[in-house]
Amino acid sequence: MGSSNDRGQAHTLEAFAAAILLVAGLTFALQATAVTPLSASTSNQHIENQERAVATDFLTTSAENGDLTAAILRWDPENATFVDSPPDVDGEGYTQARGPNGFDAALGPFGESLNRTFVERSIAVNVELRHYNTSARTERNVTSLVDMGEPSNNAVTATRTVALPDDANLTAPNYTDTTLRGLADGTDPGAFYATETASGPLFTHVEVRMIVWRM
Amino acid sequence: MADVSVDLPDREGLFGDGARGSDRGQLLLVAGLVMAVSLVVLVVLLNSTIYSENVATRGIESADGEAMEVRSTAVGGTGELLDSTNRAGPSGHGDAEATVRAGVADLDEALARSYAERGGVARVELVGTENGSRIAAALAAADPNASTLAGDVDRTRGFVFAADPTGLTDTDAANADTDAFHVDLNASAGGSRQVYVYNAPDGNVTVAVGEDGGEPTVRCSVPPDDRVVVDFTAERLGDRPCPGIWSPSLVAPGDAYDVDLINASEAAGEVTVTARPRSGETVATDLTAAREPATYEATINLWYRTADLRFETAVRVAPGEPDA
Repeated sequence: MGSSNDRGQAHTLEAFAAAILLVAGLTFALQATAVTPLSASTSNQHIENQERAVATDFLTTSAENGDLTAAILRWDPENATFVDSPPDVDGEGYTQARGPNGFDAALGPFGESLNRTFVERSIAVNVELRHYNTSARTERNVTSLVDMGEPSNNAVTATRTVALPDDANLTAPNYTDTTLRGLADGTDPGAFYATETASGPLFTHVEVRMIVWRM
Repeated sequence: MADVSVDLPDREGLFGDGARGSDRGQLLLVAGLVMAVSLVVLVVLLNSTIYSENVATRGIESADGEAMEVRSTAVGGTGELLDSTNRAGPSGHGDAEATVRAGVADLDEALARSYAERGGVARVELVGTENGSRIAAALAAADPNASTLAGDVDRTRGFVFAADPTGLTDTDAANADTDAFHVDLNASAGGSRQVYVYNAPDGNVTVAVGEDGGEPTVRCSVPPDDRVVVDFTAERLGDRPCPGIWSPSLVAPGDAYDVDLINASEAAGEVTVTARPRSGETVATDLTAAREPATYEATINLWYRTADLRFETAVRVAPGEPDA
């Protein structure tokens, strides 16, 4: 009598354990999909953190040594594009690396660093220049400097705002004597992509937004 | 004959009660299953703990970075404002300060608008400014032998010589003290540093540094170009760093010092400097025609608040000062 009672209890326990094992197995199997660098996981958080840190530091160093300002002033005011941007681009920016030198030729030291830091490591980059339409800052305009496509869901951003003075010269070849003040006054031919919104000797503040994601 | 026959043990004798034996096997199986499930649960719990910790830490890091970004934007914007105000040639120190004040107010609006889109409240406010002079002149305007570019000053920034390599004298380090153009930094408390700029025998534009009139040692050189920029305070030659140009004792000295131009006839180009006098508002110079009132530095208060972060700091902005 006692032994048959024991056996019934054991059967019940076994059934419970088997059920839990099945549920745990299913849960585990559902999570155990292919893990790529873009899958939601602890390592992916780490990659995003790293990419954000690299992009922020990249913008900081480029701004400190003047490369960033030189790159955003590489504007051809008469063609209304950045210098040497390929004709097949729908917009004013550069697409992915043209040839083995990537952005070097087009963007100078900024492009060279961009290549070394991101593109050569299979990390895609978009660089947007955000500026306001009037001094009342009612509407934000976006000019694309580098456009490598649609960012993935795991893209991260870093920003840095650059102040451009009135007397800043463009860095585009043949336009190095052209100043932002001259373009705004009409004394120099063409137009700059950003309108004058700042007061006094400053022309405008341009927010450089870098969007980085793994290809 | 002894009886050696042994009765074969029956099943009951070997395994005891049949029912009890099969119970034991089943219990072992259940125990195994329970242990397996426990281990799986342990792994899942451990993984979720690590994941939660990682996500929690990540949030704080991002917020920290954002505050630093606001700070660098405010400092960069104010620095550019100071330099462009001084370059524009204000009519007096009051005019320069008014321009800087209006510019910082505008920067405040731009920052507030920009960070509001990200759910942050940013504010910049000008606390005060320090006056000085900006001197920008062609080297030809200076005395060919010796002249004072900035006398009795205690802070210098943006000290740049844009050299025309064809106008530099050809010499070497051993003869530089007599032949080459150089900048003499004379501390009133004693001690001096000479920074020589010349064309070396290898054809490169070279910068050499000497102490107290002694024989200089070469610090760096670059191939000649249309214009080669020697930045004394940022310690750069052309587009390369050139450490060791500026004397560490003159980064933030307690006493005044003079900046003199020696052998100006041995070089061609333009020299630019912004300096703060030890006393008063105007820097003493031999190049009075090239001197203009300037704002040397500005102090700003900066606030940045988000749902998770409160950041407040006061920053002194003087772009192009030598690093400590």
